[in-house]
Amino acid sequence: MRLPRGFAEWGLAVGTALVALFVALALAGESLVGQLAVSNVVVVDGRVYEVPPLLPPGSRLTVGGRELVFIMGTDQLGRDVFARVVSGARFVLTVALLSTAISAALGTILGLLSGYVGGFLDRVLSLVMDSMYAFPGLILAIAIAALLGVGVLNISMAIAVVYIPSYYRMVRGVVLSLKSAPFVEAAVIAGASPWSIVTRHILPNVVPQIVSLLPVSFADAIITEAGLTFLGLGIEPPTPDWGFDLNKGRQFFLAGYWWIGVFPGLMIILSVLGFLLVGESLNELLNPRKVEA
Amino acid sequence: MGLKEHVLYRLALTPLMLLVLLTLVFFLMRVLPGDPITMLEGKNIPEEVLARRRAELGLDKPLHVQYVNYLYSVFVKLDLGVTALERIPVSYLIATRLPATVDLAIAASLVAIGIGVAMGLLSARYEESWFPQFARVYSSVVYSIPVFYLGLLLQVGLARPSGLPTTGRLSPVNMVALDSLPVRTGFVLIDSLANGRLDIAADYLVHMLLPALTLGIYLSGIFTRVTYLSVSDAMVQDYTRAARARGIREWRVVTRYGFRNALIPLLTMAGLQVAALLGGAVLTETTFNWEGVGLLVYEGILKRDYAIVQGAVTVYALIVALVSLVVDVAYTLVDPRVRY
Repeated sequence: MRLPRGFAEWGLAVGTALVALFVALALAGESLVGQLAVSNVVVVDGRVYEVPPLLPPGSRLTVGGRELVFIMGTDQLGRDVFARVVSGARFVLTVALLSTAISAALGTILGLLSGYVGGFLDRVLSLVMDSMYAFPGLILAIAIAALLGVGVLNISMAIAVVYIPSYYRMVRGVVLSLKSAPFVEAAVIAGASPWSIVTRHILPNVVPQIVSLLPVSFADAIITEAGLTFLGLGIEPPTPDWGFDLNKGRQFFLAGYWWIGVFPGLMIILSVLGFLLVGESLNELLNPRKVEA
Repeated sequence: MGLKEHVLYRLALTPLMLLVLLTLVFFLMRVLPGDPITMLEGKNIPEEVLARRRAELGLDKPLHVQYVNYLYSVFVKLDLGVTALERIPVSYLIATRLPATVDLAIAASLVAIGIGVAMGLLSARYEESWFPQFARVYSSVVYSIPVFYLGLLLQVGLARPSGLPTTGRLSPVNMVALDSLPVRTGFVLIDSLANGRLDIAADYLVHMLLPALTLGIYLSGIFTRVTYLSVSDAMVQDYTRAARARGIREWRVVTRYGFRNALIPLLTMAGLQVAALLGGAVLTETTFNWEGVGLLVYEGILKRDYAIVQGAVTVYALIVALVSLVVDVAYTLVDPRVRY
C-alpha cells in the first residue's frame, strides 16, 4: 500500500505492544486473578461466600469485611468476567503457538521433500495439499476438533491441519526455484549428499520466508481457535476461553447482559489485531516494494 | 491449450480432488473415536444391540470394504447414502439446505464486494487524504473480528433496537405458507416471486439482512485492499495520466480507467475467498440459526453421521471446483488477452 512509511512503523509499535500485553497475560494472568476466574466462591477468614451472577460492570461487593470490585461484572455463573478475560489468554495463545509450530514444521518438511524429490511423490503430495487448500479450512478443523475431543493438543492439531498446505506451497515454491541455482548445483557437483543439500543449502533460504509468514499465521490460528471454541469444541469447562465464554454466555448476552459477551470478544479482536499488525508492518518495512494484498 | 481444453482439464481434476478429500474425511471419521450409534445411544448400550445396529449401517465390515463400497456409491452410483438415524437420503437433505447457503453466500459476496470496491475506489481517489489510512485500519480490524462475534453484536446492537428478526429464515407463518405454494424450487426468493407472494419475499430479505451483513463485512476488508492496490497502481500509469491530460474528471479516471485494472485481481480474490465464505457461513448459520448446509454439517459432525459429513464435503468440493472454473472462464471475458 502506498501509505506513509510512518504508518507501518506505527502499526508495528501498536502491534508489538498488543502482542506483549497478551503474552504477559498468558504467562501471568492466571496467577494475578486467582480463583475468581473459575469459580464464584470466595473464602474470607474460613467463611464461604457466593458471588451472585450477572452483576453489572463496576459492581462492588463486601464479603466478610473485604470489598471486591467487578470492573467487568460477573457472568451467568457469578464468575468475575475480568478474571476470565485476563486468564483466557493462556489457552488461546498456547493453542496458537502449538498449532502454528505443528503446521510450520510439517508443512516445511513436506514442502522440502516434495520440491526436492519431485516426480510422483511431488504430484501426489501437491494434489493432496491443493485439495486441502481449496477446501473450506474451518469445516475441516471443526470435523477434526469434534472427532479428537477436548484438550490443548487436540484442538491445536485440528487447527494445524488447516494451515499445513500454506507452508507446504510456499516452501515447495522456494525449493523449486533454488533447485537449479548455481550454488546448489555447485554443491551437487562437489558431491554433497541430498540431506546436506536440503538442510545446509536450501533450508537456510526457506527459513526467512517461513518467519515472515508466522505472525499472520498466529493471528489466523487465534481466530480459528475462537471459532472452534465458540462452537463448543476442543475445550472443557471451567477453563477460561474467550470463544467458549461467548458460546456459554450467548443467551444472556442476547438478553441484554452485554458485558458477558463484549469483553471476551474484544480480547479476541485485540489479540488477532496485534499479531496481524506485527506481521503486516514487518513485511512492509522489510520489503518496501513487495506489495501484498 | 484453448479455453475448451482448459475447462475440460479442470473438470477432469475435480473428481481427483474430491477423491482426496473424501478419503481424508472417511478415514478421519472412522479412525477417531465415536460412531453414530454410540453418539446417539451413549456408550452403555448392550453389545448385541450395538452389533446389530452397526451391521444395519454396514459399519461391521472391514474398513477397506466400507471404503470401496462408499467410493463405488459416490462415484459410480452417484448416491450420497442415507443418514444414520432417520435413514433420510443425504442428497435430499442437502438439496433442501443448499439454497439457503447459496442465497447467504451470494448476498454476503455482494455486501463484501460492494463495501470493498467502494472503499478501495474512494481510497484511490482521495489518495492524499486520511481516507486510505482509515480504509487500511478498517480492513485490518474486520479481518480480526470473529464472524460470530460480529453477528452477536449486530443482533444486540441493530436487531434488538429496530425489531429486525435475529434468527431463522422466515416468520413461522410464512414458513407454512411457503410449503403450500404450487411452484417449488427450494430457493425462497424465486418461489415466492414466482407465486406472486411479495410478502414472503420481503420477509425473507428482512431475515437475510443481518446474516448477509455479518458475513459480508467480515470478508469486505480483503476486497478493499485488492481494489485500492490495483487502482492506485493504475493511477500512476501513462494511460491514466493521458486521460487526465485530456481533461477527464478525476473520479471518472478512477472508476473507468483505474478500476479496469482491479477487475482481474478482484475476480481472483473472489475465487480464493469462496473457501473462507463457506467456512464463515458455518459460523454465521450457527449464530443466526440459518438452516443451510453449514448448520447441517455442524450437526452431522456432532452426531458422527458419516453420510451427512461426507455428503456435505462432496458438495463443498464441487462448489469450490465450480467457482474456480467460472473464475477462469470469466478471466477471458474481462481481459481478452488471457489465453489458456
